[in-house]
Amino acid sequence: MNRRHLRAVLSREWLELSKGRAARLTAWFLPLGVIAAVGATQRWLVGLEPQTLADATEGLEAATGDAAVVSLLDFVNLQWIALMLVLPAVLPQMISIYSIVTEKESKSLEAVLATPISTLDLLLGKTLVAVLPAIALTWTCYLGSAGVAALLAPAPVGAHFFRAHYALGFGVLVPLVAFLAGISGVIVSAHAKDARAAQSLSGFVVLPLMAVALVPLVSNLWLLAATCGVLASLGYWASRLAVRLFQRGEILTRWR
Amino acid sequence: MIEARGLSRTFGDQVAVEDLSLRIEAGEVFGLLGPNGAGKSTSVRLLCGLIAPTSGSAELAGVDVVKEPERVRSKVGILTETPGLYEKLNAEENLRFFAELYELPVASIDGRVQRVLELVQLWDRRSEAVAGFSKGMRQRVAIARALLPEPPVLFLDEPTSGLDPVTARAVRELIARLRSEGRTIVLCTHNLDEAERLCDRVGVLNRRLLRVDTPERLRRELYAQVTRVELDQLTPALLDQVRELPFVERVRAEGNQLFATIADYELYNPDLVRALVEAGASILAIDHEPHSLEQVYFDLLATAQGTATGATS
Repeated sequence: MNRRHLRAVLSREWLELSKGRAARLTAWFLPLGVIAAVGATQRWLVGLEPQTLADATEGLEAATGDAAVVSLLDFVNLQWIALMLVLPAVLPQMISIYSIVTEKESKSLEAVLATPISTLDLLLGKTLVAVLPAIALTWTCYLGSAGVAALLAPAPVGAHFFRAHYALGFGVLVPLVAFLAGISGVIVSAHAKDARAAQSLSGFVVLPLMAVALVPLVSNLWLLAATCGVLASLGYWASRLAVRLFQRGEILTRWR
Repeated sequence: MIEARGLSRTFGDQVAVEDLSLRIEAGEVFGLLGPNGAGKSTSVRLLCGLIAPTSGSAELAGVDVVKEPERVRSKVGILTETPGLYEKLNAEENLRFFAELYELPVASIDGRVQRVLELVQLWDRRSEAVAGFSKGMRQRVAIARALLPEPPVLFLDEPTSGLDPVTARAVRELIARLRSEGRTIVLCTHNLDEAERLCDRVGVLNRRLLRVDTPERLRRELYAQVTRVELDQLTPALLDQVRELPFVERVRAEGNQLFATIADYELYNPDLVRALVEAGASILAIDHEPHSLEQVYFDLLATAQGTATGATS
């Protein structure tokens, strides 16, 4: 692996992404939107009328007062956490497909392939370009949401964001899911003829990844650790597969 | 500098290049001529280690193209068929990215980027997004990109294709300058006039390499030279006398002009002039009618197609 090549691919892609308005807006508004929505939910539920709260928590174990508010907020925040856990399964694939398809349309890939860069460095660069922002956005949403929950909700609610299985999920599982999503986007788009075909094909990978991404919601650390191990192994093999499947000759002649 | 031995490449059932064998010397400008789909771009991609051959081998600057493609690619600059630039980036950003991929010494990057952009006369426009550039300007940025690593070997695929005459001439002048610097250049082109002016040797390709030689020798080998003599008066008797000269293969007349096909005009033109003067003719002008490389090219392709048709029928 050549770090200079990887850095070059990353810098170039980010420079290009930063010049696109859509990417800038997504980078700012996605986390801000999620954090604001989580904050608004905390405020709204904390201020519920006692009767409304009783109605809302009727099916939950907690009975009254703060305990009921905490139970309700925990339940609602679980939905937010589920949404945030799904982000790394979706975002990297969108970015990596866009990255490869843009290269296809501008026909710039041939010039890159004509340099001494190795296929592994090129594909890893393309994958990391998609993975790192997705992880950063997911972590920003997670930590920002935990922050607003700590600020606006009763004390245990913010702390509940950092339960061991959530922390392990966001700390370890999220990067692994993001990597698999990114590399699968690269594999699929290197073989699809256009962006639409690539996105359709990638659906087959995204759905199982979304399911796997929700494992931290099951409070079983062993299952979570085992899932992380399997995903790490899959990531390694997916990288090797990506290099094997990346046929320069086919790509250069078919992409016209 | 470049040596290919029996290089072939197929894509599925499609044969793109078959049994390509050639040797290109250091400092030579070699033209690859051929119609669309003849395998010119595939040959370039094979020779510079961009794609692997199905069979055969090649070396570039002593490095095995099949075994060490990455090392080969560090020794070549390639102008691809389409400029393939990053539209949102400016010219300088485009080049800086490639400078990193070629692993140029960090301290030299600023200077090299400036030098190649000045060479293609785009230094003043370096901060503008490439998306706003004309086709000719994009082509010039792509040429600058190919020159950036200061490679000993340059592959230029259709460098003047689609350019206006002024820009095309500027690009040709640039290639001539690079040639004078002693770089080895492989030039793929449809423009036979360009090949004739710039190339030391040309290879005519139509999946197989049909012929390799200097444009001049190809013409000589394929065609006898025609000498045109303008006389004050051309009589049938004079025409007969010329016809009987042993070195003259054919004679025709157009008004007072005589066209004599001679096997070697440099050797026999003085004899022809002497014979005409001795026969009492007054010569107003004399020159020889050259066959263009274009004619050679079309005849070679026609012969190859005829052979292929004959072989399959």
